[in-house]
Order: sequence, then C-alpha cells, then structure tokens
Amino acid sequence: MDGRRTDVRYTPSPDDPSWSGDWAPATPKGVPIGWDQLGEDDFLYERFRVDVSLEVGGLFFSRRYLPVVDFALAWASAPIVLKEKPRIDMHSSVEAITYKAAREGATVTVTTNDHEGEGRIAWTELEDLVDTMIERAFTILYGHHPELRTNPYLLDLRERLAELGLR
Amino acid sequence: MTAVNRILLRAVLIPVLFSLLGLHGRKRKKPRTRSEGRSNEGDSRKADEQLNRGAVDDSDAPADSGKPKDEGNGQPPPKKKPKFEFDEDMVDATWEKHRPGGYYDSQKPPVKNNVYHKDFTKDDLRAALLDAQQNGVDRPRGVNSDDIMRSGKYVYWNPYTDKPTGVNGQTGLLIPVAGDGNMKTAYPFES
Repeated sequence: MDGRRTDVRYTPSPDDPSWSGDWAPATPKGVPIGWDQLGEDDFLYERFRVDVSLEVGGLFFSRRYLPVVDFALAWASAPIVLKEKPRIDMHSSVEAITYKAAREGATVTVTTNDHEGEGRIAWTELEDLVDTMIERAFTILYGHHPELRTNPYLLDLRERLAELGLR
Repeated sequence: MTAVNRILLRAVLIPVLFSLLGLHGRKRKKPRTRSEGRSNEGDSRKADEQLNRGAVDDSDAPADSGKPKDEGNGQPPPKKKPKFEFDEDMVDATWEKHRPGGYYDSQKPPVKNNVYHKDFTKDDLRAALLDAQQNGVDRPRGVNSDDIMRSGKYVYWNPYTDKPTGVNGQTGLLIPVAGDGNMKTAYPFES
C-alpha cells in the first residue's frame, strides 16, 4: 500500500543453542530424544527462537527471541478469522507481545501492545505476508536442521496449513 | 339460640365480621426495604438475576473460615481440578527470565513489559501461581477467535489488589498453558 514495505525476516537468536549444528534434541530436563520426537511444546515454547524483523506498511514491529513456529502460527489465524470478524489479537506463547490486526474493507491495520504507531496494508498484502511468515519459518528450520523434514509434528502442521489454504 | 340461628351466625355473620375487620383470607405482608420503606420486589428480582449470573458481590458475606464448606452431606466439596500444572523447575525458569536483571531486563534495550516489578518476589510468583491454579481465568488463544493452529490456552490471574506484578504497572499475570496442561511461563499482564 502506497509503496511502503511489508516484509518479515527471521534470524536465529544467538541465545538459543538449538540452532547450532551440533545441537541434539533433548527434553527440558536434558534427556536425549530423537528429532522425530520433538513435538508442539518444543516448537511453540522451548526451541528454535528467532529475532523477528517485521515491517508492515513501512512501520517496524520487530521482536527478539520468539519461537519461530509459534510466531508464524499466531499470524496464521489472521487471514482466516478476518474474513468473518473485524479484528484479531494474536498473542505470543512465551512473552507479553500481542499483535493486533483489524480489517476495514480491503485495508488491514496492524498494531501491537508494545510498539508505537499502526501499519496499514491491503488485504492481499496481509495474505502474502502470512504466507511468507509460514514459508520462511519452515525454510529456516529445515535449513539449519534437515533432520526436521521428517518430524511428524511439522509434517502434520504443513498438512493442516495446506488444508486451510495457507502455505 | 335455635339451631337455625346458630347456622346463620357461623355461615354469614362471622365471615362478614372477619371481612369488616380485615382478618379475612391469607394475611399478606408487603415486602419493603429497610432503609427507604419502598417495595423491594424489584430489588429481589434483580438479586435473583444476579445470583443466576453468579454476579453477586459477597463482600458483606460472613467471613470464610478457610475450611471447605459442608455441602450438606457431611462431606467437604471436592477440590477443583487445577487449571494447570507446574513444578519448581518451571518457577525457577520463569523467574530467571522475567525477574529484574533477568533475561528480558538485560536485553539491549530491555524488554520492560516482560519484567517483574522489583517488589514482586519469587515467593510472590509461586504464591500467585498456586492461587491461579484455582482462581485464574481461562482465556482462549485468541481474544476474538479460537486459535486455529495452536493447542493450549492462557490463564489470566489478577487479584485486583493494585500490587504491581510488572515494571510497567501491570497487576496481573498471563500464564501460557500447553496442550498437556503444563504451564510454560508467566509474564506480567494487564487485561
């Protein structure tokens, strides 16, 4: 909208060891497990945290140290829910950041509880943005850990996203 | 007095006398309020509606002894199922992330809306979590929708005492709870 940028980028959080090439999956108590045993809890709360660079209509709503899958899934509801309802609040699973999106006609306004200003984008830009959020989440996971390509939780997640018309 | 007169007295005159003296029929008591002398029928109706909604302010109710109330069968009511589970490791991990000087506070710049207030101690956190297990309020993933991709829920806790939990003046906590019922963290939150 008006040529202002809308984009999302993920960078592995330097404080999260799960991005390291020699990292091996384990329970929070340190018991080793297989790559295929990593489940929803690991992806939503514990592992694979990224620094999110999020620009919406020229405004930055960036945030550090968010689990990449949790961030992408919080946003995944937006284009579906906003088809029927005027607004949606999307909470992080791990900290006090809430992204809020409101739709009026073909325009979507994005704000948060911790950033100044509001980003305004077209409805189609929101759909593209959410697709990008999801696609890049899988890309960064598989890029750092190809073993995750056969993870049952992620496989099932991709299937469910596809059924909803999301990438 | 003849038999006929006695019958007439019982059947006609006594009811007429009762009627004239206002003693006839069921005695009616007009409900009234104590303070204003007006009918309290409307008040009663409102109270019933509030009771049905569970919205009665019981601040004037007798003090709770702290013991489970007898349900009438001599047995205390069954304890409510906790809204989530936690252990000391989770309290430790949560405290280290959100305490003053902890992970979020040491970011550059600090992520202040994630930081506990300096007067909110680790013991306060533990007590809050124990209380929230019973008295917290379940929140779905999305305020205006069901989150369609993530399981679990949030539990919102706020005792409304004005004692801050967070440095930004929050007085409650938001507690993410995973699909298996385990809490994952608890951060300052104002609803």
